[in-house]
Amino acid sequence: MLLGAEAFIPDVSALFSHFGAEVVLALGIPLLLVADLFTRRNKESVTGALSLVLLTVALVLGLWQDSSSSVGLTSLLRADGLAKGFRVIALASGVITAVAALRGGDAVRHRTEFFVLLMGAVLGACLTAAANEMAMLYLAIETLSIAGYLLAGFKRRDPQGSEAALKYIIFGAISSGMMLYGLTLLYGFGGTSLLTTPPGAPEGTVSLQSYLQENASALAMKPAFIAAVVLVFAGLAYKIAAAPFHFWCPDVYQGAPTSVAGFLAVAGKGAGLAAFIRIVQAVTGGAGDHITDLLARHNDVIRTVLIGMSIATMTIGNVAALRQRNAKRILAYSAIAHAGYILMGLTVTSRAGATAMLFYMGVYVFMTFGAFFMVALVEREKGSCDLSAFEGLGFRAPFFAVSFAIVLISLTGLPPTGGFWAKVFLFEGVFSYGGAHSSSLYLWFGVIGLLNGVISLVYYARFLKAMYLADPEHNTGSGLELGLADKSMVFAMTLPQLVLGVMFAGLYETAQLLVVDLF
Amino acid sequence: MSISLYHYLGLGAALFAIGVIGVVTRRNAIGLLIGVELILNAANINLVGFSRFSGKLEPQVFALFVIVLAAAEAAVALAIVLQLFDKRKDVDVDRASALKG
Repeated sequence: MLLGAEAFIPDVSALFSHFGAEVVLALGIPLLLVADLFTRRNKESVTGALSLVLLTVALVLGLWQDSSSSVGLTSLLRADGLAKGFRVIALASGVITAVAALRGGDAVRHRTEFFVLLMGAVLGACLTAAANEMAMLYLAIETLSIAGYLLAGFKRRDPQGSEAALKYIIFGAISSGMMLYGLTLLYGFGGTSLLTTPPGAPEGTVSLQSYLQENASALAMKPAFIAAVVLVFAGLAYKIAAAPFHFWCPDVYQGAPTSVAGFLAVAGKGAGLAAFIRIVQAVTGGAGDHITDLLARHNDVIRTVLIGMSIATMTIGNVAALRQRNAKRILAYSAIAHAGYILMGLTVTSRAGATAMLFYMGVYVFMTFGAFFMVALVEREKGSCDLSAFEGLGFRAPFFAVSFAIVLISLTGLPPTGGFWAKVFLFEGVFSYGGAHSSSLYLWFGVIGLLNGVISLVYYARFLKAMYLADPEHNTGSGLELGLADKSMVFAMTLPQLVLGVMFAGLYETAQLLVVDLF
Repeated sequence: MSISLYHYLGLGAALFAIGVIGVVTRRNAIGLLIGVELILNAANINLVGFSRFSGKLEPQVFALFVIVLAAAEAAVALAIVLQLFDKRKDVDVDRASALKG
């Protein structure tokens, strides 16, 4: 071909085998808008169903996507296991959100725009998980965020909805600005915008990770470098709702439509965590023989920052949840606390830690959507999601109450549920790191984490108390009028908790295979 | 005195600091958004400086991305602010307090 133009023509089969899900989403968005123009009646149900089909196709493609060769089309995006794992989580939460929105559990009339924005947010989340370059990462995170701001404000007639969107965008804009400033400084330090070097990249590809490995003496322990890293962490902490950037979380979850709150909690957190893992890998230089004493001390500083963030996040989330009465706000603070637990996997900067994080997110999808969906059902039937709306449901709506109890037990992290194993793997990582490096910091960190688990038991148990131990006068009367669709959704979110409680090994091994080329 | 990379970085850092002070002290939603714009442009000045002194084009492309995304973000933010203004006749973020606890 003339003038090397073939370099500009994408290799379609490679594009599809590595990024099929993203292609379907990117083409699906204009398709949805055109479909809206050509339908006359029942626009929302037609476009909603179409978006559900497209998201499901993308999910199937995402599950089958080739992650064996970890170099993508360019080094900008990596089609590795980390991208695949978090992409599946984002797509699954997109599908669940579309189902919940179509079922109308939110008491908002959804329009085509809702589904367009949802697909845009899912696309942003998928790209964030794959991004390996600073501009690409910023672009992907903003795609997810800007769609997220609009989704959060979708209850337009409700002042709470606009207020939630305002708080979300103000905090979001500030923290993504900080992240961007940190990224530009990191660019200046390394002279490269790539974060990690994919295996099989062209000879001479320099990434921040490889630059740090080779020039540790120039960068490691430099205050300006650490400051830039902390600024980037600030932007990512906002995405996963970690302290000190968690303030938006309760307000947004309360004001946003409930399905959107679940989506932001799961897909937003998943995408943020994938980017977090990639960034931590880049700024610690990864693991291996090249770690000099200086770089090891540098990494200890970064790990200490992460430990501080993790402890602050879980403690603030759990303690603040204690004095809440509104179920959605309790779930929001519990989502903050869970962000703190998941960060435990990052503080050990190892493959085992990343495996535990991916496993946790896999369980978290079902726990969180289950909890938000069931709270939305109570809100729909009782007109309130105050704790008092749950009183006596153990006798009036036994199926609902048992399912909700299972989800709560899983959120607390008690056997026999998937949530138990999710926490076991995270704590095991922290304690074994503490043992191997004889670091009392990590042992204390693990103990604080366990104490936090005890605190969380208090507020989760409040739901159980309301449902089963309220005044007997609440025990009679009408239950919840749940349709077959509601019940099957509740069942589909609850069953995986029990299945994963027994058959956790399969998911763990899958997660292990996915993170095999990290660090 | 010739202009060095550190002048660019110094100007960027100053803009960043002004932007952060702005978002911390302002209570008006529009004022907050102006602070955010300063933070984003501080990053752009860093990028332009790096491009000028390394001869690479990469940072300039990055800066173009930032400009486009900043515009998109501002458009969405102003739409949300307008919507809230319609309901409350007020864009003070401290008084937006229907959600509390």
